[in-house]
Amino acid sequence: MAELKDFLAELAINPKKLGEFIHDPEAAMTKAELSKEDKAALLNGFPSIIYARLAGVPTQQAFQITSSSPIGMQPNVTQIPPYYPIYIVLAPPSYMGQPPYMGPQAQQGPFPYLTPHFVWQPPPPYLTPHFVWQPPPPSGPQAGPPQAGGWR
Amino acid sequence: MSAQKSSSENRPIGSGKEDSKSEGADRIPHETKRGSLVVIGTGIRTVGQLTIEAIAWMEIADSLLYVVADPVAEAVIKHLNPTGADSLARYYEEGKLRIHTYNAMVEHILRCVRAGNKTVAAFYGHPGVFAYPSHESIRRAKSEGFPARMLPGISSEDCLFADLGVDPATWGCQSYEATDFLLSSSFIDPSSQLILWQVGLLAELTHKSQQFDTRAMPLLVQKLTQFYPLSHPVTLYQAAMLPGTDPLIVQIPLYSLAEFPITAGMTLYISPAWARVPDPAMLQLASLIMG
Repeated sequence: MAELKDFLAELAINPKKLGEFIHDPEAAMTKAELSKEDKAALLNGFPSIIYARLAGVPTQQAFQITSSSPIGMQPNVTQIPPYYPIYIVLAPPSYMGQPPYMGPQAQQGPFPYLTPHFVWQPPPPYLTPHFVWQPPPPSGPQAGPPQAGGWR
Repeated sequence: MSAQKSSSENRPIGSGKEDSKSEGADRIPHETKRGSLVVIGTGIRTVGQLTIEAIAWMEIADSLLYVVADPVAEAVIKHLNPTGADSLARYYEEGKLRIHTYNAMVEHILRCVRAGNKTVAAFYGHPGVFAYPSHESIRRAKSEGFPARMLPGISSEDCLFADLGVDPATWGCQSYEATDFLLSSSFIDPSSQLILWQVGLLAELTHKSQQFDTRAMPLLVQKLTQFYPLSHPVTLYQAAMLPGTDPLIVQIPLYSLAEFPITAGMTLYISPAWARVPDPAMLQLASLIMG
């Protein structure tokens, strides 16, 4: 019987098997000999239940549902993996002093001798452009600048 | 491929051969070969967002260092390179300043490169989008004379455009790290779209294994009300990380943002609040040129 983690890892590197899963998830899981508990976890769509199964949490515990969550019915398990941020603000905010002068070279990029990658030009008449600028509809966002002191 | 590493080709995942424990940079013999660095991204949802090129680099690496956010990605990495895979997540510690963690990761990556290894560093998402250790390790490797490059991956922003059905070309799109936005005097254009990243890590410079401190959220709401009405709808978004699951998309009014239980992986998207004002002079000049 295949492990859920191994099954998903195989889907990540095997387009043929991923295609089979997209086409018919149940058949793909049956073919891979996933347990009925793992099949149920993958089909229900709750990430925390799937994470619970990936962590080996017993089925009964993984499927306990609570409605106390402010964003609706959620499984009552805490198996979501820890979040690992990989970015942090480095420079002190500009109000700590004058912002450093970047100079004209900062706008040139590393290869000033290269022509730009993109120059706007009208599309050929025989092509339908992917995007055409158009004014927002009258029923769109509220018109007018923000008031002094901000919106209230 | 390194002679010390067996190929994972044609071997089913879960066969048990990926259990061999890597010892990181310490196990790398000092050789005369020249080290190199390639930084790759594993996407937000590993199943379906891993590129062929990223898979290839992970397979041929001497050292495959990684920071990923889900167990499936880790299983893939260990399968592709059983002997070279080594997680950098051990540098995270509860309450430790994240910049220290990131610098330790950079130093570990550089040690492998200096040891002459074909080094691949894998980060979740796009390795160059809101990622400090990836850019910094490439910069330092290059400065020391080693070949180093980055391959693009699918970022959370890519997922956001797809899931929310918005296009950055429509009305324009501004993108800030939430803490940077809060602490700087950046001018934003509320007739354009706004994305604030890492909103669940607002004014939080340390690592927390579960829930980050969001006590500064009222300050963010206060700053945003300089540009938006309090009743303006804002969207909290988190991309799906597993197949068969949906992204988290919650729309709330701006005034209730401070009370909402925001998690670390969430992003804040704000649609334009007012229409763009055309520049009549430029319209006239441009129409002359365009005919």
